[in-house]
Amino acid sequence: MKTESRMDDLTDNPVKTGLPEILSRLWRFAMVLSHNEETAGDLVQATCLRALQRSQQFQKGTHLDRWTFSIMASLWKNELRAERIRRGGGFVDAEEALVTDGAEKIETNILFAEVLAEVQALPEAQRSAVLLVYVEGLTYAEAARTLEVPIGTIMSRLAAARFKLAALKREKGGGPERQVKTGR
Amino acid sequence: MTSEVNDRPVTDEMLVAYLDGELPTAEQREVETALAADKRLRERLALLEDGGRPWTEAFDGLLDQAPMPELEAAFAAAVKTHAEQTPDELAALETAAADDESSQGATNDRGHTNDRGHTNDRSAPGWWRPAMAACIAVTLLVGFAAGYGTNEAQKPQLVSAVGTEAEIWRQAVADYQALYTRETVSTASDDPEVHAAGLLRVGDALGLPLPGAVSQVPGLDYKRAQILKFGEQPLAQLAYLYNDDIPIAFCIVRLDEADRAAENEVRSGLNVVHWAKDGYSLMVVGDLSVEELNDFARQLEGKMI
Repeated sequence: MKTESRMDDLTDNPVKTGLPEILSRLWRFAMVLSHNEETAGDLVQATCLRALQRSQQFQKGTHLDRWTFSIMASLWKNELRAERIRRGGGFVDAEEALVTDGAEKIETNILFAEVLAEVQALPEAQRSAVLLVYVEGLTYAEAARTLEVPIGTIMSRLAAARFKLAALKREKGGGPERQVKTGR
Repeated sequence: MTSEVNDRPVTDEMLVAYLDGELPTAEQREVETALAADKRLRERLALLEDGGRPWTEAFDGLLDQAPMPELEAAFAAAVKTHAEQTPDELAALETAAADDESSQGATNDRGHTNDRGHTNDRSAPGWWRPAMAACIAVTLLVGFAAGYGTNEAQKPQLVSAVGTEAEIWRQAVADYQALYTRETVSTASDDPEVHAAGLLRVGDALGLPLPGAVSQVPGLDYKRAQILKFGEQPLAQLAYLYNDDIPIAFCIVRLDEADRAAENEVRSGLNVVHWAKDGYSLMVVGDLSVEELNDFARQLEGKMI
């Protein structure tokens, strides 16, 4: 039965046909989680494989991106466990990797790079909530499901992130402009 | 959602949800009423608003930088690995997936089934770094170990799949030790007081006192003690430098193995001495000759009593 479904993969498997469309967004989430371009690529690959392996669980017509984000979040958690063994506890965190490849890469737009750098300096738990809710547009409830935490946790992470960013803005006497021309 | 801590009827969480349009209409009105009456609350809201950013624009810039050829290659590699999986492997994955479905809400179980599903990824072709693959392999091994004991029904299968828990543990430690260099531990403090405090703390977490003597082994320069985790078990790692060059680790975890005398093995290219006593499994690992390593292990074993 499984073999048959695999033969039909190309035409019938919405996971396989849909994943290529969201690769860059998966990579972006992976970058926010991992702070590291190489690790992010690895995480995308592992996530794609897991998604393919689980494609029968995916319900056609639902959001492939959200479904895949939760797979990635779950994989990352497990990877964290391995990292902890090496590092001795705590999140793999901003403390040691504030400057990211991603922020460097878009230095062409310094304001946006600044926003990225600010977000990257947040603790991982806040970063992922910010990415899912403010960038990817998930509802609190969807973000909570994706990260396997209560909704209240999402809310407090977002509040904490906003307070931190507000403090940065006030320190700088204005911070990044609200309205920025992208030139794109 | 009323906070009793700060005695504000409207919490910061509610304010964020208000800003984000996530509050039900009734609560939204409540917040608006409270805002109208309370200047401090308005200031709080303004502060939270200052924490806003042009999220989408900023992060779209990151999308533009995605390394698409590599990501497409990664996807292709995942497709290939998936296609090469045998019906047996896929059946196993489906079983794992079914377990996963039936354990909704039990996040630990979910994590473990994820790990189990990962067994086939080690052969994934493509640009996945070998070191990363090793990390994933360790993750899955540790995941197995973590599941071990929490789900009795899985035990026999796990043992046949990946070896004993003790073997998994030693492999995980050796894998990580293999990534250590002189620099990994050379920056640790030389302060005896720091050393003593570290040993006390790690011994407490482990549930087994670590005598100060373990930091005084002739020929080994003691660096630091850390508490790590193996599955749910605290794992003590004492780091040493040999000859100011070679990192050596002495690790202890409670696996409730029967007592056994020291044995040697090679894991991840490193020599290992391991033994078990009073429920604790102990090992010394490093890139040293068996003779030297055994000598250090004997001394450490003596100091632990």
